[in-house]
Amino acid sequence: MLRRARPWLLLACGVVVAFVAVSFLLLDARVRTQFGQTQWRVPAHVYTRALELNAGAALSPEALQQHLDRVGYQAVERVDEPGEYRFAGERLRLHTRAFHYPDGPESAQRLRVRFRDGRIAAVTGENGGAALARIEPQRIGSVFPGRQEDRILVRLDDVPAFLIEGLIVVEDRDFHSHFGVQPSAILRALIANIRAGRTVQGGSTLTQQLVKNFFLSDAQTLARKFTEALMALSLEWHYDKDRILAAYLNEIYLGQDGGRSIHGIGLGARHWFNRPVDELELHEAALLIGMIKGPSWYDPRSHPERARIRRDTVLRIMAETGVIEPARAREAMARPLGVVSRESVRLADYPAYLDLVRQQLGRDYREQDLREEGLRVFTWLDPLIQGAAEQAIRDRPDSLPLQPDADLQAAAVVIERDSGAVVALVGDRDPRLSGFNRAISAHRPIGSLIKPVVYLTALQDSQTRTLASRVQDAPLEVDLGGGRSWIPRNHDGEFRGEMLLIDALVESRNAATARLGLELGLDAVQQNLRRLRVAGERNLVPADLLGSLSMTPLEVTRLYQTLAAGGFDTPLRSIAAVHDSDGESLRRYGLEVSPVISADTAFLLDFALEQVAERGTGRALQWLLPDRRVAGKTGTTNDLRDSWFAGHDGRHVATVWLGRDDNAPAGLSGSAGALRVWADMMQRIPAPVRTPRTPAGIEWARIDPRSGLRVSRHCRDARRLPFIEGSLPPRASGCGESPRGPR
Amino acid sequence: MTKACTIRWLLFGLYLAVAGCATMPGEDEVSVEQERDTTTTIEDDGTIRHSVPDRTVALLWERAERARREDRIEDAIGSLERALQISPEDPVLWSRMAELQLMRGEFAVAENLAAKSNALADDQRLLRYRNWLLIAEARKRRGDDEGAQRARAEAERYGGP
Repeated sequence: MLRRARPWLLLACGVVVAFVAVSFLLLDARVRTQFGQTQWRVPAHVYTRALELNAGAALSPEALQQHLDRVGYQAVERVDEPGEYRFAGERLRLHTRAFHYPDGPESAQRLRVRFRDGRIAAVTGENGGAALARIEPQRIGSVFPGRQEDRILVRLDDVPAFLIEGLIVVEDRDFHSHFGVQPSAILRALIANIRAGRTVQGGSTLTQQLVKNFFLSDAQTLARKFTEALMALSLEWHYDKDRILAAYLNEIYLGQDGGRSIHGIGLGARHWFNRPVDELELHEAALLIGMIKGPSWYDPRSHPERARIRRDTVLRIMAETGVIEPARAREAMARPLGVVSRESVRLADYPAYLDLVRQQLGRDYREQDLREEGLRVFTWLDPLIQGAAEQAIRDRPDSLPLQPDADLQAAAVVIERDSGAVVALVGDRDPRLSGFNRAISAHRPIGSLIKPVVYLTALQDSQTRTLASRVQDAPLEVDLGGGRSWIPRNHDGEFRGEMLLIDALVESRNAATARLGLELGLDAVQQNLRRLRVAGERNLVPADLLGSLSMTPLEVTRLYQTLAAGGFDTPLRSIAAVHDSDGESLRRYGLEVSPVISADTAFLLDFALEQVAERGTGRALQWLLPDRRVAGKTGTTNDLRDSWFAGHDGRHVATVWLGRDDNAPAGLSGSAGALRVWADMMQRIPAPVRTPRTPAGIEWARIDPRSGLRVSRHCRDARRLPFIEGSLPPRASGCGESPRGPR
Repeated sequence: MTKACTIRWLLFGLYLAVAGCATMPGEDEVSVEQERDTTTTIEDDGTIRHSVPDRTVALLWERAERARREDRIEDAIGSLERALQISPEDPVLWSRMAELQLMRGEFAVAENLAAKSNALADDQRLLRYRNWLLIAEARKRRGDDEGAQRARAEAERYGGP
């Protein structure tokens, strides 16, 4: 009988072995690709930009002190060591630290800085001569290149030893000796579970727990256990214990914050104790270790007593196993839980900006470049400008005429006009909240922000149209086919008849713009959107001429950047450089520009957008920002759902969006809402020194605003407008329809 | 690069040196002597004087020039980028940046940077002349002989040395 069964038995065994082998190989490949690509032990540190100390820069002693404090400089009586400073009124003595900047290492130096009227008056070195000086950037967080999520990554070196040892004695005593699974532990758990009639004990090693968290679902099936065990073996085969432990610490589930899971010891320490992991105290570490067993069961905010008992159990095990002295355990047991309130938790200083950094790291850098340890990511984030944006977004909407109960949201982007460096980014009314980042993810209809592209299209052929051309602001009905039609209306419900092309833009006339756009052709407008690198996938429809197409605030900023920078497009960059641990630059993405619109046409358009701020829909800027020459455009969408303003002051291009996440009306037009926030924000950013610049191919002429003809400068009401050479309108006889006389 | 062209560069450098002497009183002035290397082209511009209204920019320009002479192109670019942060509308900085990118073999980038410099150059004829020659060189090295020809013709419009 046995003899007859043997071939079958052998075959069955063979099938099982083959199955296990094939499964292992398949899972092994998955482990290596998925896990191998992640660098749990190597979060890249992210820095703001350095603070340049150049004479003439608008920087107050207070602002500088703020930066010094943020980067950990000490105020002292006598400045001896690097990292020390002393303020005496408008004079500062400073000993900078050595730092490896994106453009090279710099040694520490002693400096004297003098201020006058909120500006740096002079920076001198030890020898008394003018010095080239800057303060090192602030470290704002860590990112894990390659994974798009909000997580505070830690290196094993950052984690206190008692936390690691405590974790091992509580969760997996034989971690350092087993090979991924531990049959004896599984057997022990199995017996205990059978005896209890339910699952009371898990036999999982840390490696298995990691596999479960990292690769698998929560289902408790035999097949999943089998997969888990094979993958754990594979992990241990390919990676050393430290790597696995670091991954475990960064992956472990430690509770829930509303809709967001708290993964990783770094985020856990921040979420529960509002501390970085290296500052955790023993009693806090013990609580975190204890919570691993059941983060919601032992949630210390909802069940403090249960959590305390669990924490003390952990402390007792740690004392019994010799990880800590019994006296220290007793001392820790006497401490309160130390959990902070949810509201007081600040996960990261600039979560929205870090989102952009993550996104651009993934886009601009090859993955193999980012695998090394100790990467440092230098960004363009300017803490002073970011602070200005955050404050405006947080405070200003409170004073706006909002609809009652409107849950207003906001986003803002500020970039440098000529370099495309993103210096500030806010994605939420509460800038410290991470989550939905409206600045880079909210695609909203842009309303009249699209109009400059229509007028750009009109002005491109200077022989056909100029700023002084006449357009019709008159009723219009567009047959869309199928019995549907589109009837654009003006915001004031009126039609102004014939008007100058520039005025139609300055006063944001819908009917005139729609007529003009349809005359030019949707294809021509679309082509310009493509040139400006903001065209979407679909073809334009007539309603898009008035901004029914959607963009993110970041995309809008790019569009306005090109218009503001003389027609030169430049990619918006958050990352200045990525360095490896030796300070060597990885692929560097330097300054790049490309001319996509003629400088002359861009100049005409920019002139018109200056007029918007002077006498058009943005004229409130005349008193909100009295001392600054700005150009920009308001945008409002149907039923006051979105309120936009995008513009520049010659140095910075900025966009502000206000609206509601549920897309209900917020009750704000562009000028009543976003423009106010924009002005508030710009008010806090130092005004640039601007030299008005007219391109060589531009000539100026006085124009009769009614006929659009050229008149002498003695005519009243005549407007001075720029024209591309060779496109001046004909002369009127006398003053045209303008009255003669002193202006 | 023909011999005639090289000579033209040298002459042009001399011309810039003379032109650069007319700086505004009170402005910082940086003068950088450069060793001549007859085998290369663009670098052969002898002495350039760049007058800037900002001391930090002057120091950064000096540092960039030093790096450039020592063939540390990346460092030179780094310093110029830093200078451009402070003085983003300085056409000479953009022009020099274009030149450095040309040296790195980034011809398209160089051409565009030179165009940006032109857009900011106002009535600085010499700078425009120089930028168009840079553009011509970038196009030539990219294999666009016709475009290079057009750029050279454009340069002639601005006189040259």
